[in-house]
Amino acid sequence: MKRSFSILPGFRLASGITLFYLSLLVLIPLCALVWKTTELSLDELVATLTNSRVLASFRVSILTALAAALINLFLGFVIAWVLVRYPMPFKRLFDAVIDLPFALPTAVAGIVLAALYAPDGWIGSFFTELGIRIAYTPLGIVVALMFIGLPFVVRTVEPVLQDLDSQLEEAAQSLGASPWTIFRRVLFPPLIPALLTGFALAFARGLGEYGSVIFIAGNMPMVSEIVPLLIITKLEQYDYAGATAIGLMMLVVAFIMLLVINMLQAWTRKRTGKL
Amino acid sequence: MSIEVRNITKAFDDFKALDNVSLNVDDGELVALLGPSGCGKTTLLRMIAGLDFVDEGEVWLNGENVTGKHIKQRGVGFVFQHYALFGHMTVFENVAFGLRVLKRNERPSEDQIRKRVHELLDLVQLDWLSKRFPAQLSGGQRQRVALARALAVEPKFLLLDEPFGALDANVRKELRRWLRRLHDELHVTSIFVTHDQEEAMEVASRIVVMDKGRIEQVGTPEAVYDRPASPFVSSFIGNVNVFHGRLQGGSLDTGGWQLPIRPPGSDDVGDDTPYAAYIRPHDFELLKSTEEKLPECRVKFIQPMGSVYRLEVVPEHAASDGLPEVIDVELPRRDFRALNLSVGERVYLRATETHWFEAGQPAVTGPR
Amino acid sequence: MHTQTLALDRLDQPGARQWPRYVLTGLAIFIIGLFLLLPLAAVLIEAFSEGWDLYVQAINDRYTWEAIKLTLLVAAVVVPLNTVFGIAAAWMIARFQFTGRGALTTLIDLPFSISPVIAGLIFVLVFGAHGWFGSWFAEQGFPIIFAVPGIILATLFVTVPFVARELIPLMQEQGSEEEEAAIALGAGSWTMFRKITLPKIKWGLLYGIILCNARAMGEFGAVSVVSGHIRGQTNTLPLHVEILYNEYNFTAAFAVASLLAGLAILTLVLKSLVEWQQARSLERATQ
Repeated sequence: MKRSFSILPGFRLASGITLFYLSLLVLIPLCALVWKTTELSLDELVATLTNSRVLASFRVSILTALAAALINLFLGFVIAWVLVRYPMPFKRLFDAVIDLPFALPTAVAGIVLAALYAPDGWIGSFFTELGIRIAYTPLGIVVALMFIGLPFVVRTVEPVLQDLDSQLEEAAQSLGASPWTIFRRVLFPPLIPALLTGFALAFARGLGEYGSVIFIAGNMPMVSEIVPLLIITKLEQYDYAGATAIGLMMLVVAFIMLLVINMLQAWTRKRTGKL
Repeated sequence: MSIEVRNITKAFDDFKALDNVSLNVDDGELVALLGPSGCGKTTLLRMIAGLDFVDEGEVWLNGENVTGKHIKQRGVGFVFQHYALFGHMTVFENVAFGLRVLKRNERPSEDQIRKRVHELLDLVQLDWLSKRFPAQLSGGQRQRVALARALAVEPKFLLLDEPFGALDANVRKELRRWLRRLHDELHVTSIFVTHDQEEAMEVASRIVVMDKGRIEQVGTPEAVYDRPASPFVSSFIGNVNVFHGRLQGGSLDTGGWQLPIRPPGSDDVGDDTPYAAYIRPHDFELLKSTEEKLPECRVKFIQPMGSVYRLEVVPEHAASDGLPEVIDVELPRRDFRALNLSVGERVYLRATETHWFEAGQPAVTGPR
Repeated sequence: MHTQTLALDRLDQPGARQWPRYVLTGLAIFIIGLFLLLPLAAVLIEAFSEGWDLYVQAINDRYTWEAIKLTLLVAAVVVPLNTVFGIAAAWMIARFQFTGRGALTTLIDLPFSISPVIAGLIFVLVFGAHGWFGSWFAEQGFPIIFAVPGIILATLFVTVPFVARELIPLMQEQGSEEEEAAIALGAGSWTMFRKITLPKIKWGLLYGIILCNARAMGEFGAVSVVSGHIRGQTNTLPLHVEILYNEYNFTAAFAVASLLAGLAILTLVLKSLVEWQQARSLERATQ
């Protein structure tokens, strides 16, 4: 590793610890995943991945994660907007509680959401009267992923919104723009990169989420079975090859999402001129 | 306690920060490294300190080659540009830090440390603030704490990176004089970096002018101002009007506009030789009428600046590449009053002192 | 993150329509209430729905205690290791220039974007019965998968980034001048770290540790894959919640869940306190 000179000590120790730890914990196990997949022939790999149940689970995972991220894009934006710009009572409390999905173990979220949205639950019974079932259908998955993904959008948009120069608005106002025009033409455009980043983060998290989903999903194969659950099912049936192939596919998707998110964050930095 | 730098070269990737630089600083001197940003002055200072290492060349301190040595072994005190005070420690603890981290057998007793720190804080006139935190101090006070902290370990050399860069103009003026006095008192061999020529002239006993990783000139403040070694030095130190032209008889012809001056000792130089004349604003005389053959100008703008008047004059019936669009002239108040000039008036221009450069090379400097 | 109301809301000056503000504020409160506060409250209400005695009984169960002990053990191993790693990685990335710095940062972030189930899967592939080293470890009488070491490894994986990604931007912003000054004044490496670096990063470090701890104690997906769900042996608190729930023992499930919800509330409170302290020390530094 080539590095430029610094009088600060500890590069060797720090890089030693970092590289050793990451190799042992992240790199080698991930290589195992790739390696195991190569034990499958290409035909087997294709057969595993194009199995109708596998395809259905990918469709469920992607569609529900997409729907939840889209809804969160809107809801998260509204919350960030209100928290940054409007005075409101108990703001500190509301702001702190946004991070609840980060702090609450997913299993807890899972059982409580299942209880709330079950046909006889507090919220579920209300929807049952309308003829809508939420728990044990793909809708339930969307609800769980909305819970999990909400803070991602709020927390990426909030700082950018805070740093918006109030002179921009004053300038637009002095030029005679209406509030709606100011929002649409002046305030909203600089927020787009941050909004997209939040959306991508929520989507990526939703794709891989397991704990909060399985209790509310019903887990019916072909209908409400998500990919992570299918991997576990395959493992329990000792179908290691199948689990590995699906896992590799998920890993590839995760890499792509990471790449997209990095690019979006670079774009946000360029727009806001910040780290 | 001398500092000697021999043929230092340093590159950051493709950028050559220092290109074969050599420099000598004698015991007890106070030297300024002066130049525009990116000229390599801070890099040179950090190399001398041992905060950065050379690609090629050597650094000698007090007759000892320290090129490969760690900053701890060089006996230098370094004052950082943004002071780098430890924000979570009081002023007292900041100054005491260098003493407290000494090895047990070298470390002074707690009483000695306290005495030494208070002495230093007295020296920088801040003892009354010893219990404050850096964030509670003004910029000038922080600067002085940083200096006291660097002096605590009794360095043989003091190196300061843009010591006044982050301060208000008033504070800066005051601190300059103070630094000069402090140096006279302590007599530690010192180098400071600055991009402000006024600061360098006022504080330093010698100035090292740098540009693009090279040293352009080393000399006393008078020398670099009065006898600049290159066009760069001439225009970087003080304001200057530049006239490009060719020698034509007894004048410099800038293209239809004759300045009746000629470099001294250029009698055997043929006509049509290209030259550039660098003339400072205060090296002009303005005449309302003249018998001599002097170029004609018109007064465009008059600005009273206190002790001097600043004038902008425009060359009459001439537009050429060799001429500045406006010529800056500074007249002492008394001379201006005597002339009683007003905007739009016609004047004749006479240069009293000129720096000559031939094709970018230094030639000769002198009257006329 | 700290939100402040702008001193003057430009869209709300006299003459501007007020209804968007009320509609949006109402909507925001409704979402936060429905999606965040209600579930939190529901956990507690369900836990106590059968009365205090049954709650105590559910908690005071042998298997619950075993789960609590295991969860604390896992956190006690994982948090210090990831803290040391986080400091080392941040020191390397924020204080030195070297090739591959960006790639390394991405690698540290990677566990965040990988499904926890995959995190479990990869350790099964390395250490499971059919894995690379699984049979060897099992022969030594030290099984990893379906045992405590596997739970610790999977938890380590999912919590790798927490401390590091808190410290890297913080240390990058602080710059290295103070540390250089300490070295220039003769401080040794350890003295510099203890007296200069650590005091400067302590709030960020604490913040990362709090989040790391919350995730380590609450991790479900990754642990679920490698645990084997053996009651009293490889059952962490979140896994115990699942078992009780799947046995239709809802009151007990929610009672145990309420412990974890308490942990979440504690995490949020500590996090807010640290943020507040951080903002205060930042204010002091830039006065």
